[in-house]
Amino acid sequence: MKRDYHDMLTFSKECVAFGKKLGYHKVLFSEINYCEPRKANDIKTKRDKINIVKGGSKEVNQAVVRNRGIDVLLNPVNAKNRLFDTAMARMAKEHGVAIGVSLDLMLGTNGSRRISLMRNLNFMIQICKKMKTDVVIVSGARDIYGMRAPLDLASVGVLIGLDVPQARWAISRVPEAIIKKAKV
Amino acid sequence: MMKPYPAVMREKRRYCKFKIVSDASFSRQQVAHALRNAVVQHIGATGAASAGFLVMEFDEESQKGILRCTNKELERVRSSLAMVTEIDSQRALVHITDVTGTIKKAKKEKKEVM
Repeated sequence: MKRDYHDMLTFSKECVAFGKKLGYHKVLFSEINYCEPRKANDIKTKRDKINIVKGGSKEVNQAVVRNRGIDVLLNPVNAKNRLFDTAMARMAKEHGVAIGVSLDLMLGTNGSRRISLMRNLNFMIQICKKMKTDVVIVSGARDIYGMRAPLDLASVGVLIGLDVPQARWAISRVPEAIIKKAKV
Repeated sequence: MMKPYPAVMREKRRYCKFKIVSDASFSRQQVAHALRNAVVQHIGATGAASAGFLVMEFDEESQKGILRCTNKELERVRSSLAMVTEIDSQRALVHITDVTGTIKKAKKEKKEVM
Protein backbone atom coordinates (compact mmCIF):
# COMPACT_ATOMS: atom_id res chain seq x y z
CA MET A 1 0.00 0.00 0.00
CA LYS A 2 1.35 3.40 -0.96
CA ARG A 3 1.46 5.93 1.83
CA ASP A 4 1.45 9.69 1.71
CA TYR A 5 4.43 11.07 3.56
CA HIS A 6 4.40 14.45 5.24
CA ASP A 7 7.12 16.71 6.61
CA MET A 8 5.54 18.87 9.27
CA LEU A 9 8.22 21.44 9.93
CA THR A 10 10.42 23.35 7.52
CA PHE A 11 11.58 26.94 7.73
CA SER A 12 11.96 28.03 4.12
CA LYS A 13 9.87 28.10 0.99
CA GLU A 14 12.47 26.31 -1.15
CA CYS A 15 12.09 23.26 1.12
CA VAL A 16 8.46 22.89 0.01
CA ALA A 17 9.43 22.53 -3.67
CA PHE A 18 12.42 20.32 -2.87
CA GLY A 19 10.27 18.12 -0.60
CA LYS A 20 7.96 17.34 -3.51
CA LYS A 21 10.99 16.14 -5.50
CA LEU A 22 12.07 13.93 -2.62
CA GLY A 23 8.67 12.24 -2.60
CA TYR A 24 6.68 13.99 0.11
CA HIS A 25 2.97 14.46 -0.36
CA LYS A 26 2.91 17.59 1.74
CA VAL A 27 5.65 19.78 3.24
CA LEU A 28 4.35 22.33 5.73
CA PHE A 29 5.86 25.78 5.90
CA SER A 30 3.23 28.51 5.99
CA GLU A 31 0.59 26.40 7.79
CA ILE A 32 2.55 26.13 11.02
CA ASN A 33 2.77 28.30 14.09
CA TYR A 34 6.16 27.50 15.62
CA CYS A 35 7.29 28.90 18.94
CA GLU A 36 10.34 28.43 21.12
CA PRO A 37 9.24 29.57 24.59
CA ARG A 38 11.62 30.05 27.50
CA LYS A 39 8.84 30.08 30.06
CA ALA A 40 5.38 28.54 30.11
CA ASN A 41 3.79 32.01 29.83
CA ASP A 42 5.48 32.62 26.46
CA ILE A 43 3.49 29.85 24.72
CA LYS A 44 1.19 31.33 22.09
CA THR A 45 -1.20 29.32 19.97
CA LYS A 46 -3.18 30.16 16.83
CA ARG A 47 -6.48 28.53 16.08
CA ASP A 48 -6.24 27.97 12.30
CA LYS A 49 -2.64 26.78 12.26
CA ILE A 50 -0.69 23.73 13.36
CA ASN A 51 0.84 24.67 16.68
CA ILE A 52 4.32 23.27 17.22
CA VAL A 53 6.13 24.18 20.42
CA LYS A 54 9.76 23.45 21.11
CA GLY A 55 10.28 21.91 24.53
CA GLY A 56 13.45 21.43 26.50
CA SER A 57 12.77 22.74 29.98
CA LYS A 58 10.60 20.96 32.51
CA GLU A 59 8.25 23.90 32.93
CA VAL A 60 7.60 24.25 29.18
CA ASN A 61 7.23 20.50 28.61
CA GLN A 62 4.64 20.24 31.40
CA ALA A 63 2.71 23.27 30.18
CA VAL A 64 2.63 21.98 26.58
CA VAL A 65 1.36 18.48 27.36
CA ARG A 66 -1.51 20.02 29.36
CA ASN A 67 -2.56 22.31 26.52
CA ARG A 68 -5.17 20.87 24.13
CA GLY A 69 -4.53 23.67 21.62
CA ILE A 70 -1.01 22.46 20.86
CA ASP A 71 -0.47 19.74 18.30
CA VAL A 72 3.20 18.83 18.67
CA LEU A 73 5.72 19.10 21.49
CA LEU A 74 9.02 19.18 19.62
CA ASN A 75 12.24 17.86 21.13
CA PRO A 76 11.28 17.56 24.82
CA VAL A 77 14.73 16.08 25.41
CA ASN A 78 18.10 17.23 24.14
CA ALA A 79 21.75 16.34 24.54
CA LYS A 80 21.97 17.98 27.95
CA ASN A 81 18.80 16.88 29.69
CA ARG A 82 16.13 14.22 29.73
CA LEU A 83 13.16 16.09 31.20
CA PHE A 84 10.47 13.73 29.99
CA ASP A 85 8.73 11.01 31.97
CA THR A 86 5.77 8.63 31.87
CA ALA A 87 3.46 11.17 33.53
CA MET A 88 4.16 13.68 30.74
CA ALA A 89 3.71 10.99 28.06
CA ARG A 90 0.36 9.98 29.55
CA MET A 91 -0.76 13.58 29.78
CA ALA A 92 0.27 14.19 26.16
CA LYS A 93 -1.80 11.23 25.02
CA GLU A 94 -4.83 12.40 27.01
CA HIS A 95 -4.62 15.93 25.58
CA GLY A 96 -3.89 14.87 21.99
CA VAL A 97 -0.36 16.27 21.85
CA ALA A 98 2.11 14.34 19.69
CA ILE A 99 5.78 14.15 20.61
CA GLY A 100 8.04 15.42 17.84
CA VAL A 101 11.62 14.51 17.00
CA SER A 102 13.57 16.82 14.72
CA LEU A 103 16.32 15.59 12.39
CA ASP A 104 17.81 19.08 12.52
CA LEU A 105 18.75 18.52 16.17
CA MET A 106 20.68 15.36 15.29
CA LEU A 107 22.45 16.87 12.29
CA GLY A 108 23.54 19.82 14.41
CA THR A 109 25.45 17.70 16.91
CA ASN A 110 28.42 15.38 16.67
CA GLY A 111 30.74 13.32 18.84
CA SER A 112 29.82 12.88 22.48
CA ARG A 113 26.91 15.32 22.25
CA ARG A 114 25.28 13.22 19.53
CA ILE A 115 25.83 10.10 21.63
CA SER A 116 24.06 11.59 24.66
CA LEU A 117 21.32 13.02 22.42
CA MET A 118 20.65 9.61 20.86
CA ARG A 119 20.60 8.01 24.28
CA ASN A 120 18.09 10.55 25.57
CA LEU A 121 15.92 10.23 22.46
CA ASN A 122 15.98 6.45 22.78
CA PHE A 123 14.84 6.78 26.38
CA MET A 124 12.03 9.14 25.34
CA ILE A 125 10.87 6.82 22.55
CA GLN A 126 10.75 3.88 24.98
CA ILE A 127 8.44 5.90 27.23
CA CYS A 128 6.27 6.95 24.29
CA LYS A 129 5.98 3.33 23.15
CA LYS A 130 5.01 2.26 26.64
CA MET A 131 2.36 4.95 27.05
CA LYS A 132 1.26 4.69 23.37
CA THR A 133 1.82 8.39 22.74
CA ASP A 134 1.92 9.56 19.12
CA VAL A 135 5.41 10.25 17.79
CA VAL A 136 6.09 12.39 14.76
CA ILE A 137 9.42 12.79 12.97
CA VAL A 138 10.10 16.10 11.24
CA SER A 139 13.09 17.48 9.36
CA GLY A 140 13.05 21.01 10.79
CA ALA A 141 15.09 22.06 7.76
CA ARG A 142 16.32 25.66 7.35
CA ASP A 143 17.41 24.96 3.74
CA ILE A 144 17.34 22.04 1.27
CA TYR A 145 20.45 20.45 2.78
CA GLY A 146 18.55 19.86 6.00
CA MET A 147 15.92 17.77 4.25
CA ARG A 148 15.99 14.01 3.74
CA ALA A 149 13.86 11.56 1.76
CA PRO A 150 10.81 10.19 3.66
CA LEU A 151 12.18 6.70 4.16
CA ASP A 152 15.56 8.09 5.28
CA LEU A 153 13.67 10.06 7.91
CA ALA A 154 11.87 6.87 8.94
CA SER A 155 15.17 5.02 9.23
CA VAL A 156 16.36 7.68 11.68
CA GLY A 157 13.24 6.83 13.70
CA VAL A 158 14.27 3.17 13.65
CA LEU A 159 17.69 4.21 14.88
CA ILE A 160 16.26 5.91 17.96
CA GLY A 161 14.12 2.96 18.92
CA LEU A 162 10.93 2.89 16.87
CA ASP A 163 9.87 -0.22 14.97
CA VAL A 164 9.81 0.03 11.16
CA PRO A 165 5.98 0.33 10.92
CA GLN A 166 5.91 2.83 13.79
CA ALA A 167 8.61 4.92 12.12
CA ARG A 168 6.62 4.98 8.88
CA TRP A 169 3.50 5.95 10.79
CA ALA A 170 5.47 8.79 12.37
CA ILE A 171 5.89 10.40 8.94
CA SER A 172 2.57 9.42 7.40
CA ARG A 173 -0.49 8.66 9.54
CA VAL A 174 0.33 10.78 12.59
CA PRO A 175 1.02 14.00 10.60
CA GLU A 176 -2.04 13.27 8.45
CA ALA A 177 -4.24 13.08 11.57
CA ILE A 178 -2.76 16.33 12.91
CA ILE A 179 -3.33 18.13 9.61
CA LYS A 180 -6.90 16.85 9.47
CA LYS A 181 -7.51 17.96 13.06
CA ALA A 182 -6.10 21.44 12.46
CA LYS A 183 -8.04 21.78 9.16
CA VAL A 184 -5.25 23.56 7.27
CA MET B 1 37.68 -24.66 -6.81
CA MET B 2 35.78 -24.08 -3.58
CA LYS B 3 32.30 -25.37 -3.27
CA PRO B 4 29.80 -22.46 -3.25
CA TYR B 5 27.65 -21.83 -0.19
CA PRO B 6 24.09 -23.13 -0.39
CA ALA B 7 21.50 -20.45 -1.09
CA VAL B 8 20.12 -20.42 2.47
CA MET B 9 23.57 -19.70 3.89
CA ARG B 10 24.34 -16.79 1.60
CA GLU B 11 23.66 -13.33 2.96
CA LYS B 12 20.86 -11.46 1.26
CA ARG B 13 21.98 -8.21 -0.24
CA ARG B 14 20.29 -4.97 -1.07
CA TYR B 15 21.47 -2.55 -3.72
CA CYS B 16 20.68 1.11 -3.11
CA LYS B 17 20.65 3.61 -5.92
CA PHE B 18 21.69 6.99 -4.59
CA LYS B 19 22.18 10.52 -5.76
CA ILE B 20 24.38 13.24 -4.32
CA VAL B 21 22.58 16.59 -4.12
CA SER B 22 25.07 19.45 -3.95
CA ASP B 23 26.24 22.56 -5.77
CA ALA B 24 29.67 21.00 -6.27
CA SER B 25 30.42 17.76 -8.10
CA PHE B 26 32.50 15.00 -6.56
CA SER B 27 34.72 12.18 -7.73
CA ARG B 28 34.06 8.51 -6.96
CA GLN B 29 36.86 8.45 -4.40
CA GLN B 30 35.55 11.48 -2.53
CA VAL B 31 32.04 10.04 -2.34
CA ALA B 32 33.15 6.54 -1.36
CA HIS B 33 35.39 7.99 1.35
CA ALA B 34 32.67 10.24 2.76
CA LEU B 35 30.00 7.52 2.79
CA ARG B 36 32.32 4.93 4.30
CA ASN B 37 33.36 7.40 7.00
CA ALA B 38 29.72 8.22 7.77
CA VAL B 39 28.81 4.54 8.15
CA VAL B 40 31.88 3.76 10.29
CA GLN B 41 31.28 6.81 12.46
CA HIS B 42 27.64 5.94 12.94
CA ILE B 43 27.50 2.16 13.29
CA GLY B 44 31.17 1.43 13.91
CA ALA B 45 33.66 -0.83 12.18
CA THR B 46 31.91 -4.01 13.31
CA GLY B 47 28.56 -2.62 12.16
CA ALA B 48 30.01 -1.68 8.78
CA ALA B 49 31.53 -5.14 8.49
CA SER B 50 28.26 -6.91 9.28
CA ALA B 51 26.48 -4.54 6.90
CA GLY B 52 28.93 -5.46 4.13
CA PHE B 53 28.89 -1.83 3.07
CA LEU B 54 30.42 -1.08 -0.33
CA VAL B 55 30.08 1.73 -2.85
CA MET B 56 29.94 -0.25 -6.08
CA GLU B 57 29.53 2.35 -8.77
CA PHE B 58 29.48 6.10 -9.07
CA ASP B 59 28.92 8.16 -12.16
CA GLU B 60 30.68 11.51 -11.81
CA GLU B 61 28.61 13.17 -14.52
CA SER B 62 25.18 12.50 -13.10
CA GLN B 63 26.42 12.21 -9.47
CA LYS B 64 24.49 8.96 -9.13
CA GLY B 65 25.69 5.63 -7.86
CA ILE B 66 24.93 2.23 -6.43
CA LEU B 67 25.92 0.94 -3.01
CA ARG B 68 25.56 -2.47 -1.48
CA CYS B 69 24.66 -3.69 2.00
CA THR B 70 22.96 -6.65 3.64
CA ASN B 71 19.18 -6.67 4.04
CA LYS B 72 19.39 -6.92 7.84
CA GLU B 73 21.47 -3.77 8.17
CA LEU B 74 19.67 -1.71 5.52
CA GLU B 75 17.89 0.58 7.99
CA ARG B 76 21.07 1.30 9.93
CA VAL B 77 23.03 2.04 6.74
CA ARG B 78 20.21 4.27 5.51
CA SER B 79 20.11 6.23 8.75
CA SER B 80 23.87 6.68 8.78
CA LEU B 81 23.77 8.01 5.21
CA ALA B 82 21.02 10.41 6.28
CA MET B 83 23.52 11.91 8.72
CA VAL B 84 25.89 12.99 5.92
CA THR B 85 25.86 16.79 5.79
CA GLU B 86 29.02 17.50 3.85
CA ILE B 87 31.41 15.81 1.44
CA ASP B 88 34.94 17.17 1.21
CA SER B 89 33.93 20.34 3.14
CA GLN B 90 31.09 21.07 0.69
CA ARG B 91 27.47 20.93 1.78
CA ALA B 92 25.75 17.87 0.34
CA LEU B 93 23.09 15.30 0.99
CA VAL B 94 22.74 11.67 0.00
CA HIS B 95 19.35 10.81 -1.46
CA ILE B 96 18.56 7.09 -1.76
CA THR B 97 16.23 6.89 -4.74
CA ASP B 98 15.63 3.16 -4.91
CA VAL B 99 16.42 -0.12 -3.15
CA THR B 100 16.57 -3.35 -5.13
CA GLY B 101 17.43 -6.99 -4.48
CA THR B 102 19.57 -7.57 -7.56
CA ILE B 103 22.34 -5.59 -9.22
CA LYS B 104 20.65 -6.11 -12.59
CA LYS B 105 17.55 -4.31 -11.47
CA ALA B 106 19.60 -1.56 -9.82
CA LYS B 107 21.40 -0.88 -13.11
CA LYS B 108 18.15 -0.73 -15.04
CA GLU B 109 17.11 2.86 -15.68
CA LYS B 110 13.91 3.71 -13.87
CA LYS B 111 11.63 6.68 -14.32
CA GLU B 112 13.47 9.69 -12.91
CA VAL B 113 12.47 10.77 -9.40
CA MET B 114 14.66 13.86 -9.25
